[in-house]
Amino acid sequence: MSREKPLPHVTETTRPYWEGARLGKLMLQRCRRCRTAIHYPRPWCSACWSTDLDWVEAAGRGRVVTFTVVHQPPFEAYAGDVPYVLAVVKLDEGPQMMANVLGIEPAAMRVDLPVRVVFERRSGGFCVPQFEPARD
Amino acid sequence: MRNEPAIAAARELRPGRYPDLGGLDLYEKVLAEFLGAWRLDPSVVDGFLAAPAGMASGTGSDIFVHEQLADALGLHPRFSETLNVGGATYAVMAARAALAIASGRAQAVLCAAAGKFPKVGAGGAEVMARMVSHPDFEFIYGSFIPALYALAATRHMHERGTTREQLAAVAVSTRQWALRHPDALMRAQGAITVEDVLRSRPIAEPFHLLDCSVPSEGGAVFLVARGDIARAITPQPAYVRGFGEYHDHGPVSQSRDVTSMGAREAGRQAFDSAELRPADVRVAEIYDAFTINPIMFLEDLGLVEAGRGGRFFAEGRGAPEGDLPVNTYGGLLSFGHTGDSSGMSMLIEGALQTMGLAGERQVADAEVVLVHTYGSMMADHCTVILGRKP
Ligand SMILES: [Zn+2]
Repeated sequence: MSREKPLPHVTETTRPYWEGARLGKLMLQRCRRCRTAIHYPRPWCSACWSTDLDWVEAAGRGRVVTFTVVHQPPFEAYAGDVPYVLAVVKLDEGPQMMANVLGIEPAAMRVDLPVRVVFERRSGGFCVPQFEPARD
Repeated sequence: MRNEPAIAAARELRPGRYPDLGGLDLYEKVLAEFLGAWRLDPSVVDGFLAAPAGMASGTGSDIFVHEQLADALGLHPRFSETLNVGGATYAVMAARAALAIASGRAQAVLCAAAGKFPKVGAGGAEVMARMVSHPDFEFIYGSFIPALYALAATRHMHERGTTREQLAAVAVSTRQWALRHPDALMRAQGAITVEDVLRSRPIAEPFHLLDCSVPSEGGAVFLVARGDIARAITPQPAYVRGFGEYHDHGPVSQSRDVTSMGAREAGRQAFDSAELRPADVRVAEIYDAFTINPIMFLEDLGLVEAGRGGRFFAEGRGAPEGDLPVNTYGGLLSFGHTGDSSGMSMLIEGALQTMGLAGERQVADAEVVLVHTYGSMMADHCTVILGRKP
């Protein structure tokens, strides 16, 4: 067990996502054939199985589909973080993703909260997409 | 169903901690317990199904289980595999065995499970979290099992008006049943109240400690046999009337509707194949890792109107004096969650209730019993309907 927060394992498929995050961009794949937006990254479009995909920058806005406030740290790296918010966010482009919602009192969390992307710096130069309440 | 496949024998090990036993050692103990409880003729058994050993212990899963155990049992089956569908594995085994028997490919299929559960405090939560989360797009956010289920509960409360107290009522109802099962882990703790649940330590909102199932280890074995063979073993076998399965999202963040998952489709198939309706069900055994699960799945299966699952438990309708007993063995919440064999417990209880062998907790007129299980983060769903008549 480590005190460091977990880091993603980067592959050829996911590298543009993590490189985008390092530059402050939330990247999505978009199918060139059927235009479906895709998250998490994969080598094909899950709607039409085309392997012809583009990378596009998402607007970085969405709404909270659901969330939980965690009180018991699951492992050591989160011991100093509780209570923290774990959420599923539906992006304006369509895909859903998991993230933490930062910059909010846990008691103020609610379903359907509008959020916008922010980036959390971790070890090894990784930037992890996160969300905070959208103020506009 | 053709050839009248039925569960003819069933036995579950008392849940507990078996620290000296590895996955295959625990299998041996479970099988010895089963063979000691039932007098069976090995020459009738021509099928054998097992699940990977040691998956939840984080030591890497041993996938060559059926070969080793079939050899130890002196079996040379014509239908055999090591299969894994998470918590849905054992209902899927019953379904696969019934299909094999109905099609004449097998006549008696032994199905076995042994489950280890890593200690939550000893790194187990991290091992389990990695296993059920997307490793790169969920786990990095501090996801772990109770939190992932809490995501479903929060949305259910928002959309369908389920309350915190109603979730607690599931734990209260299930504990009442555990008091009637001699092997239930929480039997000695006695009855609990809604207040007790709300006052227990918060884990991931809305769940407190008593909303969570109790980690333990164990396992079980059952035999599915052609009707004539089953009736030679026991006067009232549990006939497999129908079943259905559906495999939904992978990681829970990709679920299209976290309030209603694949149980709806699995249940529809099960009722269609059994030519039965939800109103025919007398007892329901529903996989309950957390208190939200029986509420969600009673609704998805059509046993309770959508949005009324919480009220169902608050009114005591699933409890021992209720009109539709739910999780009559004490559930994973109070009987114990036996790691990777947890999906056995509700199936064994469903069979025992149908066979009239459930002792102190036997429900009168358990003519039709529904068993619903799921695997992974509510991704795999399998419903089996058992009955006293073929
Ligand atoms: Zn496409």
